[in-house]
Amino acid sequence: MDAKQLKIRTAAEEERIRRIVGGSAEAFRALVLEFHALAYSLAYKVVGDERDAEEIVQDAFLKIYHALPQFRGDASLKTWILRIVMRLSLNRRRDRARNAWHRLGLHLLGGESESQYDAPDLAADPEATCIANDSRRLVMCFVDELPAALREALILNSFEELSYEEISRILDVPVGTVSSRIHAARRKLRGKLVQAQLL
Amino acid sequence: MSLFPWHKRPSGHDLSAYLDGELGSDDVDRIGEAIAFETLSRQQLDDYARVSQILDESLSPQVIPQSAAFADQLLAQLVLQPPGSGTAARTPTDRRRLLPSPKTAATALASIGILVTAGVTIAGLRRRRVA
Repeated sequence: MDAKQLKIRTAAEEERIRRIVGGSAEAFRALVLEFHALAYSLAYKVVGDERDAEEIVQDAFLKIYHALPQFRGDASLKTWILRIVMRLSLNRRRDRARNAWHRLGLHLLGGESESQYDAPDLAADPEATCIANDSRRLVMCFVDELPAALREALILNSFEELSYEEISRILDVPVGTVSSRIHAARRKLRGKLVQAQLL
Repeated sequence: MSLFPWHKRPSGHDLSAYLDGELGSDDVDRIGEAIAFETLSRQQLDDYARVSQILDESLSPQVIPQSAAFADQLLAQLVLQPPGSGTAARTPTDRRRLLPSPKTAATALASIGILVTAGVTIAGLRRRRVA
Protein backbone atom coordinates (compact mmCIF):
# COMPACT_ATOMS: atom_id res chain seq x y z
CA MET A 1 0.00 0.00 0.00
CA ASP A 2 1.24 3.48 -0.87
CA ALA A 3 2.51 5.21 2.26
CA LYS A 4 0.87 8.45 1.15
CA GLN A 5 -2.57 6.90 0.78
CA LEU A 6 -5.24 8.22 3.06
CA LYS A 7 -5.75 6.21 6.19
CA ILE A 8 -9.17 6.29 7.74
CA ARG A 9 -9.95 5.14 11.22
CA THR A 10 -9.09 1.46 11.43
CA ALA A 11 -10.05 -1.28 13.87
CA ALA A 12 -6.59 -0.98 15.41
CA GLU A 13 -7.13 2.73 15.98
CA GLU A 14 -10.50 2.07 17.56
CA GLU A 15 -8.93 -0.43 19.91
CA ARG A 16 -6.18 2.02 20.75
CA ILE A 17 -8.68 4.79 21.51
CA ARG A 18 -10.76 2.39 23.61
CA ARG A 19 -7.68 1.52 25.67
CA ILE A 20 -6.67 5.16 26.17
CA VAL A 21 -10.19 6.17 27.15
CA GLY A 22 -10.19 3.17 29.50
CA GLY A 23 -7.20 4.72 31.24
CA SER A 24 -4.26 2.83 29.71
CA ALA A 25 -1.21 5.04 30.21
CA GLU A 26 0.79 2.64 28.08
CA ALA A 27 -1.53 3.11 25.10
CA PHE A 28 -1.44 6.90 25.41
CA ARG A 29 2.33 6.84 25.75
CA ALA A 30 2.57 4.82 22.53
CA LEU A 31 0.35 7.38 20.79
CA VAL A 32 2.54 10.24 21.99
CA LEU A 33 5.71 8.46 20.93
CA GLU A 34 4.29 7.82 17.48
CA PHE A 35 3.17 11.37 16.75
CA HIS A 36 5.36 13.61 18.90
CA ALA A 37 8.12 14.22 16.34
CA LEU A 38 5.63 14.93 13.57
CA ALA A 39 3.60 17.26 15.78
CA TYR A 40 6.70 19.11 16.97
CA SER A 41 8.02 19.54 13.43
CA LEU A 42 4.70 20.93 12.25
CA ALA A 43 4.44 23.37 15.15
CA TYR A 44 8.03 24.48 14.63
CA LYS A 45 7.53 25.02 10.92
CA VAL A 46 4.51 27.21 11.60
CA VAL A 47 5.83 29.30 14.49
CA GLY A 48 9.60 29.08 13.90
CA ASP A 49 10.47 29.02 17.58
CA GLU A 50 11.61 26.02 19.62
CA ARG A 51 10.04 27.02 22.92
CA ASP A 52 6.74 27.92 21.34
CA ALA A 53 6.72 24.64 19.44
CA GLU A 54 7.33 22.67 22.65
CA GLU A 55 4.50 24.46 24.40
CA ILE A 56 2.13 23.98 21.49
CA VAL A 57 2.83 20.26 21.33
CA GLN A 58 2.33 19.91 25.07
CA ASP A 59 -0.99 21.78 24.89
CA ALA A 60 -2.00 19.72 21.86
CA PHE A 61 -1.44 16.36 23.54
CA LEU A 62 -3.26 17.48 26.68
CA LYS A 63 -6.16 18.53 24.48
CA ILE A 64 -6.00 15.26 22.57
CA TYR A 65 -6.04 13.23 25.78
CA HIS A 66 -9.17 14.96 27.01
CA ALA A 67 -10.91 15.07 23.63
CA LEU A 68 -10.30 11.44 22.66
CA PRO A 69 -13.67 10.21 24.00
CA GLN A 70 -15.34 12.67 21.60
CA PHE A 71 -13.18 11.69 18.62
CA ARG A 72 -15.74 10.87 15.91
CA GLY A 73 -13.38 8.99 13.66
CA ASP A 74 -14.31 10.77 10.44
CA ALA A 75 -10.58 11.13 9.82
CA SER A 76 -7.53 9.15 10.85
CA LEU A 77 -5.95 9.80 14.22
CA LYS A 78 -2.95 11.32 12.48
CA THR A 79 -5.08 13.83 10.57
CA TRP A 80 -7.04 14.70 13.70
CA ILE A 81 -3.90 15.21 15.78
CA LEU A 82 -2.23 17.34 13.12
CA ARG A 83 -5.37 19.42 12.74
CA ILE A 84 -5.24 20.22 16.46
CA VAL A 85 -1.52 21.03 16.31
CA MET A 86 -2.03 23.20 13.23
CA ARG A 87 -4.87 25.15 14.87
CA LEU A 88 -2.90 25.76 18.06
CA SER A 89 0.17 26.79 16.07
CA LEU A 90 -1.80 29.26 13.95
CA ASN A 91 -3.40 30.69 17.08
CA ARG A 92 0.01 31.16 18.68
CA ARG A 93 1.32 32.81 15.54
CA ARG A 94 -1.67 35.13 15.36
CA ASP A 95 -1.39 36.06 19.04
CA ARG A 96 2.23 36.93 18.58
CA ALA A 97 1.54 39.01 15.50
CA ARG A 98 -0.94 41.01 17.60
CA ASN A 99 1.67 41.58 20.24
CA ALA A 100 2.78 45.20 20.13
CA TRP A 101 6.41 44.17 20.38
CA HIS A 102 6.08 42.28 17.14
CA ARG A 103 3.79 44.82 15.50
CA LEU A 104 6.46 47.47 15.92
CA GLY A 105 9.05 45.07 14.52
CA LEU A 106 11.21 45.45 17.64
CA HIS A 107 11.84 41.71 17.83
CA LEU A 108 13.76 42.02 14.55
CA LEU A 109 16.36 44.14 16.29
CA GLY A 110 17.76 40.97 17.84
CA GLY A 111 18.70 39.95 21.33
CA GLU A 112 15.66 37.82 22.09
CA SER A 113 15.11 34.34 20.78
CA GLU A 114 11.83 35.28 19.18
CA SER A 115 10.41 33.74 16.06
CA GLN A 116 12.61 34.09 13.06
CA TYR A 117 9.77 34.60 10.70
CA ASP A 118 6.56 35.93 12.07
CA ALA A 119 6.63 39.66 11.48
CA PRO A 120 6.98 40.32 7.78
CA ASP A 121 3.24 39.78 7.33
CA LEU A 122 2.77 43.15 8.93
CA ALA A 123 5.91 44.90 7.84
CA ALA A 124 5.66 47.76 5.37
CA ASP A 125 8.54 46.46 3.33
CA PRO A 126 8.98 42.77 4.01
CA GLU A 127 11.87 42.42 1.59
CA ALA A 128 13.87 45.12 3.34
CA THR A 129 12.94 43.85 6.76
CA CYS A 130 14.03 40.40 5.91
CA ILE A 131 17.47 41.22 4.65
CA ALA A 132 19.68 38.74 6.35
CA ASN A 133 23.06 37.23 5.79
CA ASP A 134 21.88 33.76 6.34
CA SER A 135 20.07 32.15 3.40
CA ARG A 136 18.08 29.94 5.76
CA ARG A 137 16.68 33.00 7.42
CA LEU A 138 15.97 34.54 4.05
CA VAL A 139 14.01 31.48 2.93
CA MET A 140 12.01 31.67 6.16
CA CYS A 141 11.20 35.29 5.35
CA PHE A 142 10.12 34.36 1.83
CA VAL A 143 7.83 31.68 3.20
CA ASP A 144 6.45 34.17 5.67
CA GLU A 145 5.62 36.62 2.92
CA LEU A 146 3.36 34.08 1.22
CA PRO A 147 -0.38 34.49 1.75
CA ALA A 148 -1.46 32.48 4.79
CA ALA A 149 -3.48 29.92 2.82
CA LEU A 150 -0.55 29.15 0.50
CA ARG A 151 1.93 29.04 3.36
CA GLU A 152 -0.16 26.56 5.35
CA ALA A 153 -0.57 24.23 2.38
CA LEU A 154 3.13 24.44 1.55
CA ILE A 155 4.22 23.71 5.12
CA LEU A 156 1.97 20.67 5.33
CA ASN A 157 3.18 19.50 1.95
CA SER A 158 6.76 19.60 3.21
CA PHE A 159 5.91 16.45 5.19
CA GLU A 160 6.46 13.58 2.81
CA GLU A 161 4.06 11.37 4.71
CA LEU A 162 1.11 13.70 4.12
CA SER A 163 -0.91 13.27 0.94
CA TYR A 164 -3.01 16.01 -0.64
CA GLU A 165 -6.07 14.17 0.69
CA GLU A 166 -4.76 14.32 4.24
CA ILE A 167 -3.74 17.97 3.86
CA SER A 168 -7.24 18.74 2.59
CA ARG A 169 -8.72 17.14 5.72
CA ILE A 170 -6.38 19.04 8.01
CA LEU A 171 -7.12 22.38 6.34
CA ASP A 172 -10.75 21.50 5.66
CA VAL A 173 -10.63 22.49 1.98
CA PRO A 174 -11.13 20.41 -1.19
CA VAL A 175 -8.20 18.40 -2.58
CA GLY A 176 -8.18 20.50 -5.76
CA THR A 177 -7.74 23.63 -3.67
CA VAL A 178 -4.81 22.06 -1.85
CA SER A 179 -3.18 21.17 -5.16
CA SER A 180 -3.66 24.69 -6.53
CA ARG A 181 -2.36 26.32 -3.35
CA ILE A 182 0.74 24.16 -3.29
CA HIS A 183 1.50 24.96 -6.89
CA ALA A 184 0.90 28.69 -6.41
CA ALA A 185 3.14 28.69 -3.33
CA ARG A 186 5.89 26.86 -5.18
CA ARG A 187 5.70 29.24 -8.10
CA LYS A 188 5.89 32.32 -5.90
CA LEU A 189 8.70 30.90 -3.82
CA ARG A 190 10.62 29.89 -6.90
CA GLY A 191 10.41 33.48 -8.20
CA LYS A 192 11.72 34.86 -4.93
CA LEU A 193 14.53 32.33 -4.72
CA VAL A 194 15.59 33.07 -8.28
CA GLN A 195 15.56 36.79 -7.52
CA ALA A 196 17.70 36.20 -4.43
CA GLN A 197 20.01 33.97 -6.48
CA LEU A 198 19.34 31.03 -4.23
CA LEU A 199 18.05 28.95 -7.13
CA MET B 1 12.01 23.25 -27.13
CA SER B 2 10.05 20.06 -27.70
CA LEU B 3 11.22 17.56 -30.28
CA PHE B 4 7.59 16.59 -30.69
CA PRO B 5 5.51 19.73 -31.23
CA TRP B 6 2.24 17.75 -31.05
CA HIS B 7 2.94 17.03 -27.40
CA LYS B 8 1.10 19.47 -25.20
CA ARG B 9 3.39 21.03 -22.63
CA PRO B 10 2.31 20.05 -19.09
CA SER B 11 1.10 22.86 -16.89
CA GLY B 12 3.02 23.95 -13.83
CA HIS B 13 0.13 22.69 -11.75
CA ASP B 14 0.52 19.20 -13.26
CA LEU B 15 4.28 19.26 -12.71
CA SER B 16 3.79 20.22 -9.08
CA ALA B 17 1.33 17.37 -8.50
CA TYR B 18 3.64 15.00 -10.41
CA LEU B 19 6.49 15.91 -8.10
CA ASP B 20 4.34 15.07 -5.08
CA GLY B 21 3.26 11.73 -6.53
CA GLU B 22 -0.36 12.83 -6.67
CA LEU B 23 -1.22 12.02 -10.29
CA GLY B 24 -2.91 8.95 -11.74
CA SER B 25 -0.89 6.53 -13.87
CA ASP B 26 -2.06 8.01 -17.20
CA ASP B 27 -1.00 11.50 -16.19
CA VAL B 28 2.29 10.19 -14.81
CA ASP B 29 3.06 8.64 -18.20
CA ARG B 30 2.10 11.84 -20.02
CA ILE B 31 4.26 14.03 -17.80
CA GLY B 32 7.11 11.52 -17.87
CA GLU B 33 7.08 11.64 -21.64
CA ALA B 34 6.98 15.42 -21.69
CA ILE B 35 9.88 15.92 -19.33
CA ALA B 36 11.93 13.39 -21.23
CA PHE B 37 11.78 15.56 -24.35
CA GLU B 38 11.06 19.10 -23.23
CA THR B 39 13.82 21.12 -21.67
CA LEU B 40 11.48 23.77 -20.30
CA SER B 41 9.26 21.30 -18.49
CA ARG B 42 12.27 19.42 -17.15
CA GLN B 43 13.79 22.68 -15.95
CA GLN B 44 10.57 23.70 -14.24
CA LEU B 45 10.27 20.32 -12.55
CA ASP B 46 13.90 20.50 -11.37
CA ASP B 47 13.26 23.98 -10.00
CA TYR B 48 10.19 22.82 -8.07
CA ALA B 49 12.15 19.90 -6.67
CA ARG B 50 14.93 22.25 -5.59
CA VAL B 51 12.39 24.63 -4.00
CA SER B 52 11.06 21.72 -1.94
CA GLN B 53 14.57 20.74 -0.92
CA ILE B 54 15.52 24.29 0.11
CA LEU B 55 12.27 24.60 2.00
CA ASP B 56 12.90 21.39 3.87
CA GLU B 57 16.43 22.43 4.80
CA SER B 58 15.31 25.85 5.96
CA LEU B 59 12.11 25.16 7.86
CA SER B 60 12.83 21.88 9.59
CA PRO B 61 13.82 22.06 13.25
CA GLN B 62 17.52 21.50 13.87
CA VAL B 63 16.79 19.28 16.83
CA ILE B 64 13.62 17.48 17.84
CA PRO B 65 13.21 17.01 21.60
CA GLN B 66 13.25 13.40 22.79
CA SER B 67 9.81 11.89 22.41
CA ALA B 68 10.26 9.44 25.31
CA ALA B 69 11.16 12.18 27.80
CA PHE B 70 8.27 14.29 26.55
CA ALA B 71 5.83 11.38 26.89
CA ASP B 72 6.97 10.63 30.46
CA GLN B 73 6.62 14.27 31.47
CA LEU B 74 3.18 14.46 29.94
CA LEU B 75 2.01 11.26 31.61
CA ALA B 76 3.23 12.54 34.95
CA GLN B 77 0.92 15.52 34.50
CA LEU B 78 -2.01 13.38 33.45
CA VAL B 79 -1.64 10.68 36.07
CA LEU B 80 -4.68 11.75 38.06
CA GLN B 81 -6.88 12.79 35.16
CA PRO B 82 -9.01 10.28 33.29
CA PRO B 83 -9.40 11.20 29.61
CA GLY B 84 -12.36 13.42 28.90
CA SER B 85 -12.53 14.69 32.47
CA GLY B 86 -11.75 18.16 31.16
CA THR B 87 -10.12 19.03 34.46
CA ALA B 88 -6.64 19.52 33.20
CA ALA B 89 -4.32 20.54 35.98
CA ARG B 90 -2.41 23.71 35.45
CA THR B 91 0.46 22.80 33.20
CA PRO B 92 3.99 24.22 33.29
CA THR B 93 2.98 26.06 30.13
CA ASP B 94 0.15 27.77 31.98
CA ARG B 95 2.43 28.57 34.87
CA ARG B 96 4.95 30.04 32.50
CA ARG B 97 2.24 32.21 30.99
CA LEU B 98 1.46 33.66 34.42
CA LEU B 99 5.01 34.89 34.83
CA PRO B 100 5.77 38.17 33.04
CA SER B 101 8.40 37.98 30.34
CA PRO B 102 11.56 40.06 30.82
CA LYS B 103 10.24 42.51 28.24
CA THR B 104 6.91 42.94 30.04
CA ALA B 105 8.66 43.34 33.38
CA ALA B 106 11.04 45.97 31.96
CA THR B 107 8.15 47.89 30.37
CA ALA B 108 6.17 47.79 33.64
CA LEU B 109 9.16 49.01 35.66
CA ALA B 110 9.84 51.82 33.19
CA SER B 111 6.16 52.88 33.34
CA ILE B 112 6.23 52.93 37.15
CA GLY B 113 9.43 54.99 37.05
CA ILE B 114 7.89 57.55 34.70
CA LEU B 115 4.73 57.82 36.86
CA VAL B 116 6.73 58.31 40.07
CA THR B 117 8.94 60.97 38.43
CA ALA B 118 5.90 62.79 37.08
CA GLY B 119 4.20 62.64 40.49
CA VAL B 120 7.24 64.03 42.29
CA THR B 121 7.61 66.82 39.71
CA ILE B 122 3.95 67.84 39.94
CA ALA B 123 4.07 67.78 43.75
CA GLY B 124 7.22 69.96 43.65
CA LEU B 125 5.58 72.48 41.31
CA ARG B 126 2.48 72.69 43.52
CA ARG B 127 4.63 73.23 46.62
CA ARG B 128 6.50 76.03 44.84
CA ARG B 129 3.21 77.65 43.75
CA VAL B 130 1.85 77.51 47.30
CA ALA B 131 5.10 78.98 48.67
